[in-house]
Amino acid sequence: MIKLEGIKKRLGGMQVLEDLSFTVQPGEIVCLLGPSGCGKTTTLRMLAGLDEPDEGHIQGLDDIKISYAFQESRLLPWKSVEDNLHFVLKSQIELPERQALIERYLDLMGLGAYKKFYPEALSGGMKQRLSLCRAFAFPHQLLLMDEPFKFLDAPLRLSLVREVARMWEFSGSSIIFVTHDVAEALLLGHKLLVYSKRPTLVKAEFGIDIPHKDRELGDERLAHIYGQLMTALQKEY
Amino acid sequence: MINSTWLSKGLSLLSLIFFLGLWQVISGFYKPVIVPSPMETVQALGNLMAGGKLWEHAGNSIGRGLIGFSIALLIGTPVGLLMGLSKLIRQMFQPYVVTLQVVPVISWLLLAMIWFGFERVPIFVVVISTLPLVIINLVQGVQNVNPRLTEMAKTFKVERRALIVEVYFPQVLPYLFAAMSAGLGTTWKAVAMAEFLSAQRGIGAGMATARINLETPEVFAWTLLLVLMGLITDRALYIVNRRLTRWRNAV
Repeated sequence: MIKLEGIKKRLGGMQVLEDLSFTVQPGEIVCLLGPSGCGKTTTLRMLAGLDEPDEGHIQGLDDIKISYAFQESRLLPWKSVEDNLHFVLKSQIELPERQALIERYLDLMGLGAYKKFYPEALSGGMKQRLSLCRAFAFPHQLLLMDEPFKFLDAPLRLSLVREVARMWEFSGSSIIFVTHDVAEALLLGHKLLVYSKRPTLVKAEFGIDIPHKDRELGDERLAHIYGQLMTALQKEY
Repeated sequence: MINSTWLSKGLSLLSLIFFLGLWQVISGFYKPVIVPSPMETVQALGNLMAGGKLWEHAGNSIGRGLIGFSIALLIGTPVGLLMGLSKLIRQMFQPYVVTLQVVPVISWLLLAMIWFGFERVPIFVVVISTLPLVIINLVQGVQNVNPRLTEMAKTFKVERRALIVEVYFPQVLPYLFAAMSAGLGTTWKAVAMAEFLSAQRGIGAGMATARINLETPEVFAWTLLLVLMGLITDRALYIVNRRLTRWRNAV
């Protein structure tokens, strides 16, 4: 279990996180929702070791491997689709298995035919799918996802959310998923946390225990949570 | 639709023909000692070639230029990288780079003649005039390294060596090529000028002799040779660069 306790963080002279606490169970998908600038990305960066909390502590990260899906695809344009994956995996997995793993993930994401292509030749959605392949293929027990679909069209986003759910079935890892999109959170999360506006703490928490394959946006149970979630969120804008 | 590469090739050819025509017309109004015609220039170049003078002089110039520019690359690359990486080092070296840029080449040339004796002057002048180009380009290259890609590599625990070779290097490479392209362009000009004033052999020395003998077609011929050298090195660099950055034209 990963536990954040009493995290405070100032950035650029502003108190961003004020007493942030929550837990992530093994294999749980936690969605972080809240207004812009409330410290959602900062939370992920601290979990990834890219930033340090000013106060408070994070437990349960020792001996845990962490993977990251960024807002932008962050691919190396001078490397082919498959070499982008080799680049991050080569210190983790030896070669015959590595190639097999890469091809399995590329096929899973419908990129199998493009493995020799350079990123420049791919569409925005394909680049983001490749970035997801990278995040999932990298061995991990915790996956941090920072609005990975922000720059994509709504229909594409929802189909990628389903891909994430599918990949999660394979990996069984914990995921912390930052999003602005309530629909994404409803389709994906086991636990939905609403961040308050700055200085931030967790304002509300919702649990959803419906299996992913049964989650439809029109579903009554989801509609009920949607209503409560929106009410909680609106107070923070 | 006309194929755009053919169109641009056609336009290049057209502008060359126009230039040669203009040159031909102007040379009609003057004696060859003032403005030789294109034909007389090519003839002079042929004579230089036949007499063996061309290879002797050009060989000297090319050798000096390449030695000088190699020295500038060897010094400028590490200095430029360090200046790009560290603000402290950048502030330390910046005044020297500016000094190199603003002191007129003729000052370096005269000082070099006093300090080194004539033979090594052209090499020194090439080093001095290309070094700031190399440094400035590489500083820019390092400063334009995308921090998001660096962060991505660090998040995935990529080894330091892979980070340098596979993330930093490909981003700095285009700037190294820009440095080489600008540097070699300057090299041939600097070498010829330095040789003109200081050397017994070399293209510049050949030009000095031609001037004394009032062999204006020969001056034009040497100039034509310098232009050709510039075009060839530029083209060669362009081809190598395009090979190395094939991913850019992937679409």
